[in-house]
Amino acid sequence: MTWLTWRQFRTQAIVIFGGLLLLAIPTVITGIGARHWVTTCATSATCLGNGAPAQQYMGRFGWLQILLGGALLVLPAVLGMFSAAPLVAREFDAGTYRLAWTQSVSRVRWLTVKVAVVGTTSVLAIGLLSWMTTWWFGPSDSLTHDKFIDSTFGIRDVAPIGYAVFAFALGLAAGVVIRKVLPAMATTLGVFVVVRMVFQMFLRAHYATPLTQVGAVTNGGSDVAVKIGNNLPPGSWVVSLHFVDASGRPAGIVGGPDAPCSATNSCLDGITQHLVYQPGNRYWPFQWTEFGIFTLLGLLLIGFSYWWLTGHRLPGRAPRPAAVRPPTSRTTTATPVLAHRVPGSGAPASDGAAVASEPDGAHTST
Amino acid sequence: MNAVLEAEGLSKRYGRRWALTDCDLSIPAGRVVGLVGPNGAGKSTLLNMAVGLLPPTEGRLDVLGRTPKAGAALAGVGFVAQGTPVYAGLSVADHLRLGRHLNPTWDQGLADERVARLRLDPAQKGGKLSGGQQAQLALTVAVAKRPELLVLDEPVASLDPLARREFLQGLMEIVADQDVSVVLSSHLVADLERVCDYLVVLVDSRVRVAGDVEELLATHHLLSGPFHDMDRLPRDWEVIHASHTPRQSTLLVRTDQPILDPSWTVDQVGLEDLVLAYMSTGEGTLRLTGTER
Repeated sequence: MTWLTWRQFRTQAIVIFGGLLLLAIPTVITGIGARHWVTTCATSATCLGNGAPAQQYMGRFGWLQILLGGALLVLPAVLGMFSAAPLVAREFDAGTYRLAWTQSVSRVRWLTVKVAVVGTTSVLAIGLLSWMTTWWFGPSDSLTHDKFIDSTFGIRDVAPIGYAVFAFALGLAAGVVIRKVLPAMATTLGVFVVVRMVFQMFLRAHYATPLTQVGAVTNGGSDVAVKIGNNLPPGSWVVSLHFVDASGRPAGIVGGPDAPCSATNSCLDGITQHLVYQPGNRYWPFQWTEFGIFTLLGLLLIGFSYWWLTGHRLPGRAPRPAAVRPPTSRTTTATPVLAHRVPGSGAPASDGAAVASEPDGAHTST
Repeated sequence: MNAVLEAEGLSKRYGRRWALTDCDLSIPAGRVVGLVGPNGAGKSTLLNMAVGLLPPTEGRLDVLGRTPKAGAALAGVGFVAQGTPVYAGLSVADHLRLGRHLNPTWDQGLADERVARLRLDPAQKGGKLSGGQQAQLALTVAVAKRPELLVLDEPVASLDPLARREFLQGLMEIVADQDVSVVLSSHLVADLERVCDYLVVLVDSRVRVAGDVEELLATHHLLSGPFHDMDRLPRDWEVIHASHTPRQSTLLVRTDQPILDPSWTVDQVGLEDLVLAYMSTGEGTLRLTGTER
């Protein structure tokens, strides 16, 4: 079984790891170069206390930044679509499940080997890419302290591994349920992007109660914001910045040269500015939470795929419109091996249960 | 009688449509069984249940004395699915390796010998094989498993007449060489007539008749004679099919007794007509012709 799975997956595996290797070459060379600048700066009087040369050096490789960050951003979804979704769906599409599942290997074992070989390889590939990316951005991240913000949080450290598990499981489950390669791939992409965005935009900020800094607005809003922001612990993630008036209601945009009160600032009286943030020391708890949630979602989807594939939902033909149980034929034949039940008595007692296990009859054609 | 496949009240429903209803069937060991019926009669459903690809909605099904389920229970069952699917991306040799890895009872010598005799190129990809070659490869994988029971679901339906003949020829050689029971489905009686010695007719999801081919032919008679009142026929006659004109009656009758009434002209019936008679439900829509035997 392992041989078969590997035989069917090896081309993809070669492409994936070949791509990683190609990406690793410039990454390692320029990553070492950037580190060289960091150590040079640490000992040189000309750039002491200022790591700018390292950043400038890395800035010359903008294409690599885009390539690494972009690859890590899209690879989970790509592997979910191209490795996981066709894993079972292609067997249904081509009808080969009838070949695979009628050998002397149980369906649980068949699926387990598929998940183990393809799933582990996908997650491993993304783990390697994430490690490579995090390492390459290391010198830059240690200067800018912005690993925690939306645009980088998901392409550093362990969060991408969680995405990889989830995307693989999503592709697998979509293939198991939909049984057609292209719709399963499209579903995988759509659901993955939506879930990932919902977590990034709405849920991640609530993994822990955010802290708030409140400051008076006295000299134009933006100015104060900067002042407050400067007091944040390094590496903090600013979740939101908003204004509140004296009665505690959200206030509109204040300040600016066109504001009627710009000369006196009288309209700013009582307005405070609220800076909501997650402190930088929560970066790792958040990384592990993100990893944990997505991994758990993935494991649930894998469990669901087993349940769906092995016991409850099995391939069948599309139901036809005529849904009436055919009446017993009137032709009487009485061979010893043949018997008919009396018409009308055939209504199965298990109707309800059977309907429950096949509620929509949405079997695809075999 | 030792049964390789035994069904009791077996039914299968897809959504709200019944594909197989109350099927009671016992298929004896050591036979080549033809499962025949029109398209949509439930043949594939029955066979897919027999190899554990589909769970029955209700009823009981034993294959080789066990409930069919993917895994070790299927080690004794070789299956060639409808359309004879093979992996498009795997070579012929890969398919044999697949069989060897997935089946403890795999007979590599038999597989190699069959591939050589069929002149299949081991390096050829499954997707590049002709339909006939794909069917032969699927049969090879099923047979090299050394099964006690070989189940074939419409294996020749999509083949051209030559490939069809070669496939059935190969099947007959397997039956002659090995101690294997075969269940073979088709909607064409002509395909089955050549290889089968036992017949099961499945119509509208029900088993209409099942029995030894010789016995079926010996006990069915095609009678033609002047118009007869159907209520006054001998009691042991089972009328399978009747067509009447005002002056003449034509009956297909099943009986163990000789036909003594001299007003009937008695003809032997061919297997194809016999099956067609069982398949057709309405009266008089089918014109049966006798055959000299």
